[in-house]
Amino acid sequence: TSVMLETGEELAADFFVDCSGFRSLLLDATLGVGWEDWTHWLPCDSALAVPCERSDDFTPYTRSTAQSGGWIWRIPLQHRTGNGYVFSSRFITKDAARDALLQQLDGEPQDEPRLLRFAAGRRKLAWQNNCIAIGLASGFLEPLESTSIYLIQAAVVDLLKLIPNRGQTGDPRLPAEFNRLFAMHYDRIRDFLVLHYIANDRSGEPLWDYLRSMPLPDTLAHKIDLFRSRGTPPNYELGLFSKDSWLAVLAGQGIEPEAYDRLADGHSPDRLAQKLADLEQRLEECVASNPSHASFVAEYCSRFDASRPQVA
Amino acid sequence: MKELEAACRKVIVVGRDAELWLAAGAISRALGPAGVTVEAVELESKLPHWAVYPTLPPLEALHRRLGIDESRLIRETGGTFSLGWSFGDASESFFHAWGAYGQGIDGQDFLPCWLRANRLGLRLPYQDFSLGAVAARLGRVLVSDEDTARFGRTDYAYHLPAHRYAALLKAQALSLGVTVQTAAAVNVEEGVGGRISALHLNGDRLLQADLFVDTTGADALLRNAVVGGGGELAERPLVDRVLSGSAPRLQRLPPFASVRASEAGWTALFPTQMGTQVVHAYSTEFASDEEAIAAASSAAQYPIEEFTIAPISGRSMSRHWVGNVVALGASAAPLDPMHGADLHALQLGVVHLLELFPASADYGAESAEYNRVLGESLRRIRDYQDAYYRLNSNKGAFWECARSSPRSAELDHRIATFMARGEVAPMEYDSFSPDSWRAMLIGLRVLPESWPPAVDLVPAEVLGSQIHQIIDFIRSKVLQQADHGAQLKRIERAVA
Repeated sequence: TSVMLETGEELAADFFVDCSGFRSLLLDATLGVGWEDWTHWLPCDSALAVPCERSDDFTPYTRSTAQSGGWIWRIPLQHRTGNGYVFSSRFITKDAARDALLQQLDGEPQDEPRLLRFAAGRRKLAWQNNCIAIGLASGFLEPLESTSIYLIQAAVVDLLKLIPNRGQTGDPRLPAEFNRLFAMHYDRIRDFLVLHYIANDRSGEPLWDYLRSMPLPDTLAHKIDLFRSRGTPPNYELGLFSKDSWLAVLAGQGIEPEAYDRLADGHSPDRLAQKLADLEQRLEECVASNPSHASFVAEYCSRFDASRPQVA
Repeated sequence: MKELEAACRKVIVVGRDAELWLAAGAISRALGPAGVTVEAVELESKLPHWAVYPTLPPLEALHRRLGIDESRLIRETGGTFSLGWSFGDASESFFHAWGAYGQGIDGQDFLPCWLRANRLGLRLPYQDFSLGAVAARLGRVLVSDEDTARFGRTDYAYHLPAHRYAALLKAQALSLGVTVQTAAAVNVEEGVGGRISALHLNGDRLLQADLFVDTTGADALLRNAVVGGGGELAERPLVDRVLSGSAPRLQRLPPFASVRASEAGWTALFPTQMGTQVVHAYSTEFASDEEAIAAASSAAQYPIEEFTIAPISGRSMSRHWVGNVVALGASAAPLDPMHGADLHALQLGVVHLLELFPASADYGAESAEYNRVLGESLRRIRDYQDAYYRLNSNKGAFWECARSSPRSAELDHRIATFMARGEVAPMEYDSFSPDSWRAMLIGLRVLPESWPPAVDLVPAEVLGSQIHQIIDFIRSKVLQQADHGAQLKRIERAVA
């Protein structure tokens, strides 16, 4: 019914949103909502983050590079580049990770690497009674596909539809639907992230040997079996990742289909080769007609006059 | 690469009527260029001469793939257009139209706006906000254009005289390269591992193939051979018998099906240019066949003399692809006749079979995926059907039983969510759109207890004026539409 602040002030409300991060002060610490742990599928539990000077390699994408203990991210911003090593403390020490991270920077570090600890998983329920957890208080998945903010957005959108009216905060049917959607969002993203790890060929490296041989969630295993059989990717209507995203990772991770969809046999190999070449050429022309990332950002931002007062 | 030479090259489809030819034609059309040959084994039809297929909107896309033009379809079958299903009699009825109901207002969904407007004094039925429902009421068709495209979906379906439709599909399938053998009887020869190794036709001819498709309907000849008679134990269905009766062609052809409930069942009228099929669904636990005939005649306002009666068995919704046998349509899972989803279930099976057609000798992953997807798809269809049985307020012991019969957890969840907040909980593999769910639930008087608070921020004047704009748009658009009968005549005359 109310929260007590450190100042002694008490805030009463009908409904509470827990954005307290990992500590999950309301859902976990107060209401004791259980946790579904996924560290057996996603063993990374730490990250060292360090900014460095911007380099000329101003990529319009995040680069994730596999390492012996996990993976390193590289995110160019206008004023600096963000870097981080997501790793599993079971398989590499913090110092070894720090050294590997600093050693591969392409600009001068601007700070001492900062350590974050976390655990992959989610609350069993995001909404209990009149409390709803959003963001890190509801669960955590490593930033391998930058899904944190999406999960917050999805929760907000679902909450706007299902938020109780005055006097309705006790109705269990609203949290029932919210929790169903919450589980679907998290579980599907979990499967998508696990997919990135399992088809590796880094033999002899303990983390990767473990990932290659671990049992998979059922929901993921059948997708991989089907793709391996004939190159058909999953095609969900709901959720963040489209058929193309699944295809990009399945194919990109080197999972080779053993056969292909028979509909392709309706075209001669020459015709298919020609069509693929045409497509490739159209893509190249389209891309070539666009400016570089750096010149676009410079020009776009120059249109914004920082000295002008902002209208609220 | 797996041994591609061992890939499936020959398909035999066994069955009858539209199910047989839709399946055979679609497989041949899609995979003929890939070197797949399709042979149809045609068994004698069990459909009476007056039988009619109701359809769902997605069938039109399959027709286009098969190269069947809509005008030709209507001309050659004597069929009609269907904008949806009307439930109940004049005093207490609602209309489930395919397509959109209402339009978003000020960034909010239409239904909560309608609910709020009702609270503020608006007294317009939900179906007044559907182009299809209003057109149907005025006996008109609905042809989409730029305006309607901006408004929302304007789907429609058909009522197709069964034998003429099957003949059209057969001609088309043969032109797509399907070969045919007719047979009075088919015996299945089982091989190793429960797979079919050959079929014996009429006791002598032997046919072999890589893949066998079962479109034999309730007989499930092929499926039962590999799964075992009757398949897995399933619960007895609520409706265990269906009567199909013949009634004369209606003078003015309604562009919709109509459903009347009686004490121990319900009756649907499917109007076509050739005549009207009367379908009466009932339970032998609550009515005799004689009572069923009487109820059907009463609903049709015509003394039915020609009729057939067939049982509906329960069968579990899983394992439709076993070994080298794929069961489609009613041979996979016989459906309750509510909402006329039989051909749609067949279409789902065909589409997914094409997507997962064996690409090599080992297609375990494909059949597993097929069973998973079809199982879920059929469960969602059954949920939509069960919604009527669960939520109706018809009088009679049969309906009391219907209301208290156990439902799937998914349906219970969907009803609960809708009652609480007017939201249709989204699920994969749903054949019925959120608009269809809303139309059915609102029609059955499930009025949501609340709406999202953000809807209260829409100024009342905006709400009112937008709602009236929608009504005006619908009225003027529907008045532009052709009369159903006139449209049918126009199609009749316009022979290419």
